[in-house]
Amino acid sequence: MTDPTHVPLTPEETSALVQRAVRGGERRLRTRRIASGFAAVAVVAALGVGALSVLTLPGRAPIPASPPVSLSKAPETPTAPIPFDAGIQEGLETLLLDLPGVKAGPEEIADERPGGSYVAGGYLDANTPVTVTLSPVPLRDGDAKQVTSPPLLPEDSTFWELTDAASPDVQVWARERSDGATVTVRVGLGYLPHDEPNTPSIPARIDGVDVLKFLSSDEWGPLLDAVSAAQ
Amino acid sequence: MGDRDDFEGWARDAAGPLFRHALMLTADRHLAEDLAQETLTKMYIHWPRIDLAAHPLAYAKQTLYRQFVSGRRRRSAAELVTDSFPQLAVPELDVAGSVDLRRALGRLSPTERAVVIARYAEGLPTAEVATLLGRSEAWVRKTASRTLAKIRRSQDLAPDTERRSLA
Repeated sequence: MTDPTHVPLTPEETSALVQRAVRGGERRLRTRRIASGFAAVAVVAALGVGALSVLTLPGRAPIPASPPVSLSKAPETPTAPIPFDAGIQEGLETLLLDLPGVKAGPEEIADERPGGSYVAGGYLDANTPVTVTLSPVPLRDGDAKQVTSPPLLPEDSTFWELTDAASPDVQVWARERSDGATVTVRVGLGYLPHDEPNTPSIPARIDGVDVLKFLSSDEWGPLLDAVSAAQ
Repeated sequence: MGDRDDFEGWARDAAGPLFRHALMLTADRHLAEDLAQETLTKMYIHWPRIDLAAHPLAYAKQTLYRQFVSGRRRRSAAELVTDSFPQLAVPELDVAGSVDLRRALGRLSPTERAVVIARYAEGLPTAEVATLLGRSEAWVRKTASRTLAKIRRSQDLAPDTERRSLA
């Protein structure tokens, strides 16, 4: 029996599908060019110390972007406020969903982030948040474990698996480019006590190989360039 | 390497096979079109870096499967999220059995569905499914085994359906 839903595309439908794909691709390429262009011409002038603000997802427990845990390496604080760029934020949110198993949060985050850093949040399952932070500054010195094994890590970056003695359930990886720009992936609730409402007893885990492939993607290039140049 | 001017010609040829895979995964014509379109969009973006001698359709299929598993949604699309899954297209099954099986498959997670479709509906070897989903062969074997057990336990399935359809 042939399934009634299994009817192939007509030539017209095929043509329309291809055209929509091309238009969508052009739109995304344009967004990336804008993000890169912004970074190239951004003039940074101001004083102050930025710090990542608390990231709050609707209906969930708050996730601190700078949680009170003892990571052996952690993002430094940028020294100057950077104008917020929606293109970079959108690029970060889009890339976050390339991480296997990660779904967008109940509401996409588009708030301004101070200090030139950008944060996007999603979920690995119903309760395990995933946060990706894009920062123009390098990680603080420490004794984090450097990842040197495959998959094919880009040579312009150092990859770290960060440890968190206070929160063993939290998984953190970072890509630190030679110019200091970093991407950090954090999976888990971290500092929150396990008797907190909405806190899972056994948080979902993510495969480190998947995270490394994700961080190695050459799609990070324009975004890292953008935050780095703006700094 | 691909030239974007050549993309449309390739995409017209690839759209049919990609749509067929998408339809098997989503069992919904509109979702399948969305999935195929998103896959082609990604292919368009990466087209200049894709080696045309290295089977771009295989790369596109990998992109499509991973896209499905990641549950990515196009932000501009006004999609209706439901907690039930529509019928899943599995060709060449008897009517009663296929309806039961679709219902049972519809209760699986996207990852489980992708493994079952790739491994059993498409008949791909474990190694190929592992490559397709970016996982290890051990993970595929474990997930396939666990998912089959889950289907067997499904109350949607008539006693003989699973044996006839998935054995």
